Amino acid sequence: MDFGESAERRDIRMAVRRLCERFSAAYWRDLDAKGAYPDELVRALTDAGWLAALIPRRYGGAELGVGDAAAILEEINASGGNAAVAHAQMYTMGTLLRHGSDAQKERYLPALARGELRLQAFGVTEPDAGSETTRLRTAAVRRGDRYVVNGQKVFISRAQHSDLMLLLARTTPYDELADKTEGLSVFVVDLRAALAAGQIEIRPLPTMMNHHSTTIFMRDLEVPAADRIGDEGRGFRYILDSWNAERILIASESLGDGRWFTERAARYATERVVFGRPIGANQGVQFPIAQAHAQLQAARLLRDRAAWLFDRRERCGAEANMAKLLASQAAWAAANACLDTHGGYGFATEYDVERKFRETRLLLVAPISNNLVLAYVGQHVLGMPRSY
Amino acid sequence: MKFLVCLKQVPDSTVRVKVGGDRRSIAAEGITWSISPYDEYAIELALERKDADASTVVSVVTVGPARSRDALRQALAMGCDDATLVTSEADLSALDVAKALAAVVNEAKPDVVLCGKQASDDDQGLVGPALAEALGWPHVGMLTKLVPGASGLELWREVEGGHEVWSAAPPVVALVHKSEKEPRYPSLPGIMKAKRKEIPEKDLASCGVTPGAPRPEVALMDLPPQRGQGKVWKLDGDAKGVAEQVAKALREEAKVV
Ligand SMILES: Cc1cc2nc3c(=O)[nH]c(=O)nc-3n(C[C@H](O)[C@H](O)[C@H](O)COP(=O)(O)OP(=O)(O)OC[C@H]3O[C@@H](n4cnc5c(N)ncnc54)[C@H](O)[C@@H]3O)c2cc1C
Repeated sequence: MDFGESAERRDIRMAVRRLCERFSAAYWRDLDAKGAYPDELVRALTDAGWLAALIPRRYGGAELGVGDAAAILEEINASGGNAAVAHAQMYTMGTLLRHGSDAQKERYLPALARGELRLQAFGVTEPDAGSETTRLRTAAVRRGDRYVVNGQKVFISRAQHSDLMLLLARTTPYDELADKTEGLSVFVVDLRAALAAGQIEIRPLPTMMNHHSTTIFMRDLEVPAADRIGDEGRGFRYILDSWNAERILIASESLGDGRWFTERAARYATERVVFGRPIGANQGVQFPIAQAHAQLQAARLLRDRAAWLFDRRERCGAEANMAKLLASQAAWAAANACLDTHGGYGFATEYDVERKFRETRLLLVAPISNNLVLAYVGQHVLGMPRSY
Repeated sequence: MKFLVCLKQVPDSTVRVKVGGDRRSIAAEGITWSISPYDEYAIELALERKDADASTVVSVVTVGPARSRDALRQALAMGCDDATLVTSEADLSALDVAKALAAVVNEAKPDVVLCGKQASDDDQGLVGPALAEALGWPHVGMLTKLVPGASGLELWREVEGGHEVWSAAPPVVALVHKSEKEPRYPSLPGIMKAKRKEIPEKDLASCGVTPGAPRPEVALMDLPPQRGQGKVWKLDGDAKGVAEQVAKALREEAKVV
């Protein structure tokens, strides 16, 4: 058993760290205050090839594995930033990669790799379909060589900072389905064209953290049939296929956050003197930080194993889901330890703790709520009755 | 034109250094290593020449322990063409390092040798000038810019309140203070390319160096004492009174004025 990291993986971490050093805490603080999108960072990540890590070489990418992609996102979050601003490009691409036609891949992937197109938006959630994806109502009706789409999506992140959106929509009415996991299809939507044609409206949806989320209204949105990915009605399956990668990547962002929190907390606990000695000399301060660190290490091992299985094309649903669960919880434990350690200063914006605290809290709930992860483990790993 | 950049792997600037058990060196445990910042500027200056003229060759070399290979790969990933590692697990004196580098220079025959003006770990600034001396080449310090000129190279160096422009015909050794642009970061395609490059390894003997040049010994290494807590005076309208108290404390307690 080899727990070491390859030289290449170390190089990747170092290079991403180097890039992130140019985007200081003040940069992130300013974005957060303004609710702005980090265009410069995303441009730098794209130019250095990081967002094309998973794209095959023949389309201009680096053809790395999920384990490498995980290291990239982890380092961004560990630097004090938030990889969520760009992660979608990595995991939404999986659906296009695995299920897109050659023509679709030729059309989109090289442009994505070069940074001429951005695929940062993934439209799944609706007001009446969050955890229960198969309930979604946005309807795509076939008319000749195109589909006409009507409906509403909610919480769709970065739609205003993306050229393309991967859209999950219903192509067969729910009541007509024997198997409720069928009847949905995936489309690549050209957001710019749709906006220009007035067929789509994107409204910002402010949230607790700067996540660039939006509500999207589609009114007679025309999508060429050629932009449907894979077979009609198999969309939910395709999305499911991309979930393991997503879980591993989200786990990695959590681990990066956790590293940031424990490092900050340990440093502050060592420096801050109260009652004549560093606060870290008290077990009540020290132990929660040490505990969170241990939890992070354990989650990291599971994440590494999940990524290792994924990159060997072995089944990894259980490991990927559990890695997401444990990593997001460990990061949250670290966030709380860090906030507690900082006392009142943890709430002061300039310490960055409260910002990271808000950011890492999301990962317990989205892109998938940990309850649903537990439901998966209960049912599919332990064979208990379905609970949802 | 051929450049050779000499670099050193040092603890990353973000590392919080701890003193080792021997109290004469830093604790190496858990350290993240990277290229010394001035050496990164040197790489950037050389790569800018390569951007301007694709026939330019930029090589890098380091003398150091096996882990220094990571720093060389980082330089290759930034866009350098080839790298050489001279391994020495033991910490060497600046003169021995310069001798080993001179052997590499004599073999590679670059037109320009660039070094950082000093390494960010020991801040001695000895290797560059010692290398110029060992080679018998002219040397220019505090370099900030390098452009081809009428008679060879224009070498811009920072001086108090401005800059000087020197010209030199290669071969020359220059010690870099800064580059105009921040050093480029290694790109992912760069890392993939670097992975395929062999990094030849030499030992000191093959460079004709028997370590033993005189060197200072570190007697004791210690972290600065922990800062105590500050003192806060409340400004309750009596600014003059408070100012007097502060001045008194600065003079009598802190003894700084
Ligand atoms: C900042 C942000 C960004 C987002 N970005 C995107 C995006 O880009 N694209 C996108 O499509 N979506 C996005 N989402 C939506 C996100 O994926 C959903 O919020 C998430 O899947 C949960 O769905 P819901 O909010 O409808 O919660 P619900 O499904 O209504 O669930 C509410 C609560 O009930 C629990 N619950 C429900 N059923 C069960 C059960 N059977 N057993 C136990 N517990 C249960 C859930 O776990 C949760 O705690 C984003 C959300 C946020 C907050």
